[in-house]
Amino acid sequence: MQNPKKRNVWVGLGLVLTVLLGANLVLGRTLTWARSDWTEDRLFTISDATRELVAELPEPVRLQLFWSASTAGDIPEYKAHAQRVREFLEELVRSSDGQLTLEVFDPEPFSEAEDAATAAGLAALPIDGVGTHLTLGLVGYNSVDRQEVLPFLDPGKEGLLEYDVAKLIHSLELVAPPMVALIAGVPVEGGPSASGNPMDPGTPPWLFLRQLREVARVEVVEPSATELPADTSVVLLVHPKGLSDELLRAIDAHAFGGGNVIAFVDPHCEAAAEPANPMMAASGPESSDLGGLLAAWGVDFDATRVTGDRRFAQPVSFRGQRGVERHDMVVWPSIPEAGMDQSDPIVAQLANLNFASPGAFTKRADAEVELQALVHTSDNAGSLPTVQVAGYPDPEGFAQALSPHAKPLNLAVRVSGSIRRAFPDAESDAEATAPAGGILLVADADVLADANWIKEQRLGSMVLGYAQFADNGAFLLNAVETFGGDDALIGLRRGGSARRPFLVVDELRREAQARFKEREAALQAEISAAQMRIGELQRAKSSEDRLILSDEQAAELDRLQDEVLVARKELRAVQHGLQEDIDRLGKRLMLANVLGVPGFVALLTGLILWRRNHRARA
Amino acid sequence: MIQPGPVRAIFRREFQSYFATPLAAIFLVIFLMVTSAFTFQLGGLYERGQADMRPFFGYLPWLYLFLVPAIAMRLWAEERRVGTIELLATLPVRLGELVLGKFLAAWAFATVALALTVPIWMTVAFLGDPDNGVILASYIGAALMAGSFLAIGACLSALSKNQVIAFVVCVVACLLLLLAGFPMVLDFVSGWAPRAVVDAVASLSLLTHFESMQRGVVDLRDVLYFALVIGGALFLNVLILDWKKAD
Repeated sequence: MQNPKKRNVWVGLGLVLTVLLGANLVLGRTLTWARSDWTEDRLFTISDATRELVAELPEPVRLQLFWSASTAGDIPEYKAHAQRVREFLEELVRSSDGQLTLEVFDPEPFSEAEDAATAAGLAALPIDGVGTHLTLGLVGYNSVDRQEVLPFLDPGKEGLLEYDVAKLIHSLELVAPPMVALIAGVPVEGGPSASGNPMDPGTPPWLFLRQLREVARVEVVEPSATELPADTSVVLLVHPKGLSDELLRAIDAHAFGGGNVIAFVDPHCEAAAEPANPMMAASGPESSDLGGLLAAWGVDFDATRVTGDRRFAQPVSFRGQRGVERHDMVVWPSIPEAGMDQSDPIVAQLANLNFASPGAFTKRADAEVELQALVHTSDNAGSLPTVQVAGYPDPEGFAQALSPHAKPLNLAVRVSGSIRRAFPDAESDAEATAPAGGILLVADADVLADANWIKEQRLGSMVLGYAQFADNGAFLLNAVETFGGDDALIGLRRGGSARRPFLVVDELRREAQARFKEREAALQAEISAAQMRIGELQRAKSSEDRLILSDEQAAELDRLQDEVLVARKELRAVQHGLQEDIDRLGKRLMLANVLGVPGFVALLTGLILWRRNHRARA
Repeated sequence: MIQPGPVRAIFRREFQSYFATPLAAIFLVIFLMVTSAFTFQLGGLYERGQADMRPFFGYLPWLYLFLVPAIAMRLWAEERRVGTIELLATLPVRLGELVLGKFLAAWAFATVALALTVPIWMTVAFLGDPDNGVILASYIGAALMAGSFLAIGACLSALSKNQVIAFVVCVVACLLLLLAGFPMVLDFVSGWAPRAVVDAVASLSLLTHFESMQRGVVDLRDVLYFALVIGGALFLNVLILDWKKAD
C-alpha cells in the first residue's frame, strides 16, 4: 500500500514548484510598479524632468522596441536588462497620457521584424559562433515619420538609459533646434589623415561637435569670413585666432544686440599646439585672440599666465629620468562639484570638469558687469607663465613655479549687466551700453578636446563606444541648450558615472607627495653639490703633474663619494615612501577585517561560554 | 493554525542552543575570515579604489553555497538519527510550529553572521563615500538568499539521517537554483520544453534575483520570490517530517 504521507510529499513538491513558476510568470508582468529605488542618485527612477517631457508632447511619438527574446533569452544579464528596459518604456508610456505608444518586436531570423530592425540600423551582436544574434534597440517615429534610433541598449550603461531615451523622444519633437555658429581655431571637424594612406580613415570630428549636432543646427564659420549666418542664436568660439575684422565686428554687434556667445579662449591651447619636442626649441604658447571683445564685455583675460590648482590637480604617470614617476599636474585641474556653482543649471548636475592649461577671468575695474563664476579653482591655486607651460612638460617644475593666489581663480564665468561695444560705429556713442544676453566665457579650449573627457573603447580597429570620465561634453550641451532656450534635457544630464573614489587614499597620496617633495629637493641639492666638489677635485688632480693625490684630497674624495651614496640611497627610500603610506593603510584595513573582527568575535563568544560554564559549575 | 507562542519558545531554545557549544563561534569566525579574505585578497577591495561593496557581494552567493548548508544540515538529520523527532511529536506542539521555530533560529544565526560583516561596510565608508542605499538593499537581498538556502537545506536535512549526505544534497540543490538562469542548467530543458517553460525555469534563479537587488532597487517581485522559496521549502519540510516520523 502506498504511504499516503509519502504521496503528500510528492504532491506538495509539485504544488510548490507550480506556485513558484506560476508566480514568476504572473507577478513578473503585473507587479512592475512595486519597487523602491534606494540608490543615492535615484539611478533607476524616472525623474520629473522626463515625466514632464513625455506628458507635454505636442504630437504623438511611436516607439518600437526590438528585443530578440527567442534567440538571446538564455543569457540572464541581457534578459533581465531587456525586461527592465521594457518596464521603463511602459512606465514612460503611462506617464504620457496617450501621446507616447510602445510596440515590442522580436526580430527572429527571417522575420519581417528582423528586416525592419536591419533597415533601421539596429546593432545585431553575434553571440555564439553559429550565427545567433542579439538585438536590443529602440526606434522612434514622430507624426511626420521622422526616425531616430538607439542601435544598442547596453546593459553596462543602464544608468544612462533614461537620458538616451529622453533625448530620442525630444529630438522627435517638432521644435526648431537653435542655430549655432561655430568659429574654431582648432580642427574640430577632423579631417582626412595626414599620412595620405587611403586605408586610414583620418580623424573624426571631435565628439562635442557630433553631440552638438544632435541637439542644434551647427554651421561652421571660417575665421576669415566676414559675417555670421542669418538666424544665429548662439555664437560658439573655440580657441578663436586670426578672426577677420569684419567677423569680430559681427560678433560684437551680435553680443551688443543681446545675442548669445559661448567663448572658449585659451592662454595655451594644447590641442592646437605642436607637441613639445625636447630636442627642438619650444614653439611658444598657442593663445587665443578675441580682439577687444573681452574688454568690451568687462572681462580681463591674461594670456601670459596659466592657472594651476594644487588641490584639484590630476595625478599623472610618466617616464622621467628615474623611471616611471607619479606627480600632480597642477595645470591639468579636474574641478569637482566643490568648484562649481550649484545654483546654475549649466553646471549643477555635473560631477567634474577636466581642464588643460586654462587661464582665468577677472572683472575689469571700470566695467559695469557682473561676473558669475560657474567654475572656479580651489583656494590652493595660482598661476605660472604661459611660456613655461608651453615648453617641455615638467609637472614638478610647474608645481614649484606656481605662484599662489589669495582667492580662487575663475575658470568659467557668465557675464551679465551692461556691456559696451568693442567697435563703436562712427555715429553711435562710444560709451553706449546694452544689457548682455547670454555670455559664457571659458578659460580653456582644451576642455572640448576628446582626450580630456572620453576614452575610446575599441575592439581591434572597430570603435565600440566611448567611456566618459568627465562631464566636459555635458557642460557645453547644457550651455547651448540654456542659451538656445530649450532646457528640457538639462535636468537629465546627470553628471558622474559610478565612480566613487577612495577620498582618504587620494588625500594620503597628496600629503605624502607634499612631504616628500621637500626632502627630495634637499637631497637632490646635496647630491649635486657633492658631485660638483668631486668634479673639482678630479680636475685639480689632472692639472697637477703628480699622478697621486695628497692624503687630504684622497680623504676628501672618499668622504664625498660616501656622501653621494648615502644621499642616493635616501632618495630611493623617499620615492618608495610615497607609496608606503598607502600600502600600509591597505594592509592594516585588511588585517583588521580578516583577523581583527573574527578574532574579536572568537574572544567574545569564548568569554560568554566560559562565563556560562563557570556559572553552571558554581 | 500555527500559534506564535510555541514558535517563540522553540525559537528561543534553538537559538540559545547554537551558542551552547563552541561550534557556533567557530562557524562565525570561519565565515568572517573567509568572506573578508575573499573580499580583500581575491576581490581586491582596496586596490580597486572604488567605494562600494561589489567584491563582497559578488563572492557571497558562492561562499553561502558551502557555509549555509553547514548550518542547515544539522537541523533535522541529527534529530532523525537519534530519534528525537518522535519525542517532539508527542509534545503539545504542532509540526509546523516546530519547523518554523527551528528555521527562524537558524535564519537569525545566519543573519548574525551577516551582520558581523558590517565592519567591511564601515571600512569602505571610512575610505570614501559609498552609496549606502545600494549596500543596504544588497544586505537585505543577502539575508533573503541565506534564508532561502536555509529553508531548502532544512527541508533536505529532514530527508536523511546522515548529516553529510544532507550537506552534499543541499549544496547541489542550491547550486542548481543559483544557476537556474544560466546555460549550464537551462540546457537540460531548452532542447525539448516550450519557450514559456524555459523562461519559467530561468526565472527560478536565485542569483538573478539577488543581483537585481544589488543594483539598489528593492523590487517586490524579488522579495516575493525569496518569500515563496522559503515558504514553499518550509511547507515541504512539514510534509517530509510528517512522512518520516512514521518510519
